[in-house]
Amino acid sequence: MKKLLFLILVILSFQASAALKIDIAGAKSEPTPIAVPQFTGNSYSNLAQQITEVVRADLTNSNLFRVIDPDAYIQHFTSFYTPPKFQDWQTISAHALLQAEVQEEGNRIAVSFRLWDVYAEQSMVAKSLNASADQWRKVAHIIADTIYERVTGEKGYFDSKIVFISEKGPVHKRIRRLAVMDQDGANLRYLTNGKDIVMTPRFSPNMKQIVYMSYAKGKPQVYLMNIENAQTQALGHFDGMSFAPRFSPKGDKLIMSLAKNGNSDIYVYDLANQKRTQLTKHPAIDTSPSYSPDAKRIVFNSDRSGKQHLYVMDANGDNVKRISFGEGSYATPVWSPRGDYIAFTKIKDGTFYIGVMKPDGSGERLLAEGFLVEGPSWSPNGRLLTFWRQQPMDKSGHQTTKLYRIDITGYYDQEIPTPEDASDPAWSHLLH
Amino acid sequence: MKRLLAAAGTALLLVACSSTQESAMDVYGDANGGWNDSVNIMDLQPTALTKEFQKTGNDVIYFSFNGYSLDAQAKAELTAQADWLNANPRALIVIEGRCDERGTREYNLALGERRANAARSYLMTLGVAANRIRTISYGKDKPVVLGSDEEAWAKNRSATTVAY
Repeated sequence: MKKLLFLILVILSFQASAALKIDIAGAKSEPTPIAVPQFTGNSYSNLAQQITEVVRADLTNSNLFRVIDPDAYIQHFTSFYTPPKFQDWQTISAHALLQAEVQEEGNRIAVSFRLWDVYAEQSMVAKSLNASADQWRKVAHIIADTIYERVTGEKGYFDSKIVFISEKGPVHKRIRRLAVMDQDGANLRYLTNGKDIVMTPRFSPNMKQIVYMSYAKGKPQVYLMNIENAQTQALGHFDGMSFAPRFSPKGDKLIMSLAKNGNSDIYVYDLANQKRTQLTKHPAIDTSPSYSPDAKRIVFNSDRSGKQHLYVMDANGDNVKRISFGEGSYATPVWSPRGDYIAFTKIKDGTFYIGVMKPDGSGERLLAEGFLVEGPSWSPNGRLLTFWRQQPMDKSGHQTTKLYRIDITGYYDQEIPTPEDASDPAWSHLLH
Repeated sequence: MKRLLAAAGTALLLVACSSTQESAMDVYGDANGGWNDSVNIMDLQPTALTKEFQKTGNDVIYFSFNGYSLDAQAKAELTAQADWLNANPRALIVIEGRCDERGTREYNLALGERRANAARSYLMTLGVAANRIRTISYGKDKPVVLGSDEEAWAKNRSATTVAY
């Protein structure tokens, strides 16, 4: 009997991974039902409860899991070492069960967890984590990432951050601050004071720096900020406006646009020797460059055809090839960390869309739309996009602007809560 | 008598000039009669010339959707701007390029810069020295006319000349 169940599970899990593959091509899969009972342990604060809640929220927000209502649970654990009564979990249709404990010792926590396959009655993965107690949210995200990876076969994205522009006030007197938060909106921190207009922040791959554009010295230009101490540094002494910066995948270079005498071209800036090299030389606007994950190619936005379209070139500027051919205009291309897709903003007949296409321009799909949606950025695992959505402005200049995320299947268009208005989100790598 | 009064008036005006720093040249300029490049455009304070130029009503030109070429109306405004600048050689200007909100942020920064430079180039053909002109692009992020309708959008596809 056990063998039979195991066999069924193997088939089920094959189906699960097959479903995920179909997912990427555009189908919606049923979320996997999972039971996440309250973590046990010696925790005398409410840390065990808080960690449990964050793990549940991560799994729920991924839309790949459905956390079964704890009120329905039949078995109640008092210890991490109590064996599960699988029948009890099968009765409530849980496919997976998370059993975990938190041991607090001074300001340290030790968290042990095990993911059970309820039908196979087998352990899928087990781990122990040690951390300083103030890192409890990170611990919860790592647990959720471990579950996500074990069940889907793909890396998770929960232990990651988003850098963005926090905005408030009417648009003509808008106050904009550089801000960073966890992907779920927690641990929000402001990095600038709002005195200067700031835009388009992006993380360095090692998470030590943010590159962004600021009007700080009265001239829009690219700055580097050290995240630890918030110290900033204007980049190079470019004659003209530098903007639209992004790090190379290794973090050794920056690509950006430089506008001089009415013409914007793309440049690469070597951070080690501070040498700047011009990559495009065209009277059209060339902007929004983004490297492929292998750093061999660059996708960018140009209006050289008379309309905004997406182009791919070699990293040295050779072999420029247009890849977007649909109606409307295309902007803000950004290469997926998996390399399989390029996300973009599309404007057609007065409506804005977030879409994806393959790097050769085929397989275009539109995922989200609105009065204004703009600026997609990939989750670390290339399964979700975050972007910003703006509502029409009233006559006093008030305009609601919020961050959203969407699964690349095109389902689950969800707001990421921020205390103020927000724009220009950029997602970090996975942090563990 | 009349002449004396006129002379006194001129003297008073000169005093007023120096005491309220009417000329941007004294505050923001360099020895060559142009902008001192280290001046932060965001920190500029209006001078008497700022208002005076604004009153001419020739300070803004408009563009078509995603366009940056100068139509006859824009050229006429810029010609009037050049006449005023040639008559006020101590004035310095900043041309602010703007876009409507119906584009993406990065592209619109480039487009605003392209618009401000279209105005700058034209003024230079009319004899305004390059070092008297600075440009800045606000893209779609600092609109002068509020609202999300065709009328507001048309007015924000602009290059505004501000004199100092």
